[in-house]
Amino acid sequence: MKKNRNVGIIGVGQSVYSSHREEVNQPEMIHEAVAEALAHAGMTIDDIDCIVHGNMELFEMVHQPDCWHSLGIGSVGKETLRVTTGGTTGATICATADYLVASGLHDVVLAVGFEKLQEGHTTGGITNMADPLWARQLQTGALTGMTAAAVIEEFGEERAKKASMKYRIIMDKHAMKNKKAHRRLGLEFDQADDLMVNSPALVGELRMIHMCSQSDGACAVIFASEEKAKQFRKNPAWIKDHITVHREESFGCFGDEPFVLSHRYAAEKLFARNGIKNPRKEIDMFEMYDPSSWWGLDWLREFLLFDGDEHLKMVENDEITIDGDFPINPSGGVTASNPIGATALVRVAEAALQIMGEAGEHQVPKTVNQALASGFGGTLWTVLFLLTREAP
Amino acid sequence: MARRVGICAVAQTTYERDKWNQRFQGMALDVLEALRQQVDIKFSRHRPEVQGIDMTISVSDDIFDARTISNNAMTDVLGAHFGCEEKVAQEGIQALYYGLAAIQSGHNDMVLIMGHCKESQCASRNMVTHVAFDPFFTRPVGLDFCAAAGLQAQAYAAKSGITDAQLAKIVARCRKHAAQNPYTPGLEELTAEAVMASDMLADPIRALHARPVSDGAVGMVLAAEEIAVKICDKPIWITGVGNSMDHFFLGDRDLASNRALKEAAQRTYKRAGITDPKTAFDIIEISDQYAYQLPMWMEGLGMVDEGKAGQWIDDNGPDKLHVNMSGGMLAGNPLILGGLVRAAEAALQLRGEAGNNQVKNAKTALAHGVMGPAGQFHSVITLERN
Amino acid sequence: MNTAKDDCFVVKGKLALPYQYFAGKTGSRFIISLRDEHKIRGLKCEKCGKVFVPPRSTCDICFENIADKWVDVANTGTVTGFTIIRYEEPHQPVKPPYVLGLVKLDGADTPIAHIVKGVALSKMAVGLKVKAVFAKKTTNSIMDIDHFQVVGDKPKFELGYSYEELEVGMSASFTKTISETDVYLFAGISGDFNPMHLNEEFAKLTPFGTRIAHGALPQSLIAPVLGMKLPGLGTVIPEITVKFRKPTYFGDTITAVGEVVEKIEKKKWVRMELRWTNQKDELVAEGSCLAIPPAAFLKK
Repeated sequence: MKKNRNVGIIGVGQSVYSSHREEVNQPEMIHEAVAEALAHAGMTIDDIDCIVHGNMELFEMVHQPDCWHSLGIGSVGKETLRVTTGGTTGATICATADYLVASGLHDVVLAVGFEKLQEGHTTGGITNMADPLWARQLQTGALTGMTAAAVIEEFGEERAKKASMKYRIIMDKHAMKNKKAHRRLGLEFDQADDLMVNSPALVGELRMIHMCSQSDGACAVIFASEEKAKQFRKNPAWIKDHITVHREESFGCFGDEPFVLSHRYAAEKLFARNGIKNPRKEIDMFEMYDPSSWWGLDWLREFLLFDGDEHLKMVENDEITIDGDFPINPSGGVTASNPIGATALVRVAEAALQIMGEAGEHQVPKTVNQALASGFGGTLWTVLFLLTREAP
Repeated sequence: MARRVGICAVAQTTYERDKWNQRFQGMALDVLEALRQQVDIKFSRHRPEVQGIDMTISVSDDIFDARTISNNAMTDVLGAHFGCEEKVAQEGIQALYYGLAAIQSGHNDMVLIMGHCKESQCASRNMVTHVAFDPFFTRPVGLDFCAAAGLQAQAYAAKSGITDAQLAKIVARCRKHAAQNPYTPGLEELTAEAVMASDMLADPIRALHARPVSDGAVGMVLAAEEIAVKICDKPIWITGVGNSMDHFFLGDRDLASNRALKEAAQRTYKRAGITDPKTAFDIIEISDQYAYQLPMWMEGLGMVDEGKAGQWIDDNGPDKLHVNMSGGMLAGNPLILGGLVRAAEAALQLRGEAGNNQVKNAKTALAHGVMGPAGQFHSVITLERN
Repeated sequence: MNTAKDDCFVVKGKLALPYQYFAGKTGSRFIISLRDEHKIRGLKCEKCGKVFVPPRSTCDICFENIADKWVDVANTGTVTGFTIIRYEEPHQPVKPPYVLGLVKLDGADTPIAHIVKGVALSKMAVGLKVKAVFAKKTTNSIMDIDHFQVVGDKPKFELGYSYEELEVGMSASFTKTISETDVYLFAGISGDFNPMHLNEEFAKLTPFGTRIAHGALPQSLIAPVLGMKLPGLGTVIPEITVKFRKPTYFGDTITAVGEVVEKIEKKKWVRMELRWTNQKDELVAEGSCLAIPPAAFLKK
């Protein structure tokens, strides 16, 4: 890849994430994030050249929502682009902003992701994803107990259940450090056994406590060309590279071909072209789109290209905690806050804050030179971002 | 200066009232097959050893498709097996804006664009655009894009003095060209008198001033210059892009001012290095969802002096400037595809493949798309061939 | 229909998901004022000076926070644009055809879209004055304004001359023949059954030698002059004095005349001279009055 020019992240803003934000309407909630991002970057809306907007219409049933949201975003008189790709949307609009700046079309681009899930019916919305002819009667929202079953099958019930619950509690401990996070439950490790039994079961061993939240919230991130970035901030987080790997709707259409998760495919390609041989060692932290702690646990193996039980060991040995060797989701991740259209953008934003060293109470206690952020959505789609402290 | 980007293949389905015998995936597949007839399409899937499509940009609308994340349904058709597929959910012409940026960034070399929409799938497209309005202050009064267009048409008619007869003439001309366009079958020619005798829809918009409901799909292949020249004989270069957003509430705007379009056009001209838009283009394809928009947008693009569009219609200005030789959006394109189809039709003209509507030696073109209530958002793109 | 449809299914579906939209604090405050006080409020951006309706918490011109910069705007306004909706959709609040207007409320800078009623569709025009008509039942939405009603250019009553319009020397009159019936009715109205008005035999004994009308009867003929002509409708008469000079006999035709003789600037009142004459031009009565003309503001 021969990138036209470097792009850095220079401003991050987030609304408070909550189960409902009735005190603000959609544009007002987005405005909170935009205003904070502008303040963080030390700029005004006049410095923004173009705005990228993303969410999913059916979650709020607003057609072409960027039109209405112009009231809060500040897009009047500006160039705009609206891109959506399901759960990956937030990361996709980062890619979009990156392209728009790297191409030279714009110097400063604002990416805005949001969702107000309380205004709609999320499970109904997700069910509407499925093909009306072939699959809609079978769709059950985003619940997938299959991963839990597979992990249990491979590593035994006790070890698997313990690891996924530990992962969950670590995430909650991280969320407790992040005032903006939606679910901050104050879980302790000694509650694990109780939760494994008493949290309501959804599908098999996938329990309520494992699942992501359903949140209202918005996130805004400002991307700038190298020249502009250095003008506004001495510590931008640079976009080293990113990759988007989607899969088809009909998983079975390739017959008996072994099933490769898009996460693994994306990680393999991204690491290969950036000369990363040992991601576990070369990457300093990871903001992962983990819709449930079973997936977070399982996907760690895919992203870090493990084949054995290294990912379980990482959890068991406290390596993924905020002060561990390979911190995952110091923000609390998706099990804590999940405003879907913003969720993947929050991953990139939080990774950028860690590189800048400006994540506040949930800043990891080490220098982050290289960070990974992932987006997940659609029919097992992946967007993976590699951010660095040094300009590429 | 970033590298040049060319349109290497263009294909579309016909646009018809109700393609009841085809799902939208089927329409897209037809277009993909047609594109493959023009260029060899492989999907690179992030394998550096394979030169092919690095990124697919789909264009669809969840509400028209009645599917959350409607591009889910497109991944099978668009070769998204480990590939990159992203959806532009705005006016389709923005897929070109995005594709241009994606290639110029250096991150991608070849981009496949595929837009689809079946307006016939919903009980009424006004019901879809109704929910574009905020739920508190504008939805309850029953606004939709047609009502908003009525308000704008009244404002524009009051400002410009455009007459019912002039609007009728625009529709009659559109039908004449549409009858020659194989992609808009089933549209009868109409006399201006017949147009003037049609019922009012939202005064001063008559029923025949509105584009018919249609289903269809359109696709393109974009490539960086070094590839474009290798894979096709007649790449059409994107020379300029620009867009702009106006205020949301209709009362916050001067509806007859063309604010967003003027900004979009000026940005495009600046990037394309165009100083005199009146003489810069051999082909102009603009998104006229309603008849009044053709003269109004032409004023906004700076092609016709403000307030002079009525006279310009009387003087057969659209023929002289080769505006909407395809029939335009008035001949029927789904809401979100209008601008992308305009770019496709402009590219066909520049390739000399516009059939009976072909303008001889067309070298430069402008295409335009519009979205939102009463033209809140406009996007402009300029094209040229070698 | 094409028979080929038999082998191409069309699957019916409906997007029937529940939605609830949060209006937010700012939007809610607007609706509460509308609902509880029938008051329309706008938000003012102190940077650009514009007063916005509908409400929004950010001025999207200046990007300033204006969430608490409330100002009252009038319930009246002017139509700045309109269309006539003729097509029917389930989301419309009223049955077509109806007028959808852009109404700029007095005191606001941005018009709002709403239903306009009270004018023939063919007479609908930009510039018409309208007034908000509030809904009988609240819906907690902008539809708490049921619609905007067109108010006519002319007031319903043609009010008389205002103080500013009155000039010294202006005069007006009213003439009527006084009949036997008038006198008998007046006796009934006033209770004054004095035989000098009603009994010819008794009247022969009086200095007049025949029945005469009640003195107040011809005097009352000045009322239509003052109240309906000069100054005219809307006038109030706080004082009137009369001296009777001659009797009025049955069949006499009396003319009452009022003339403006003085404008009393301090009070914005006028003093008028009053004269009553009969068909022989004889002075029947004379006097004067103070008149409070209709206020200028009532005529707007």
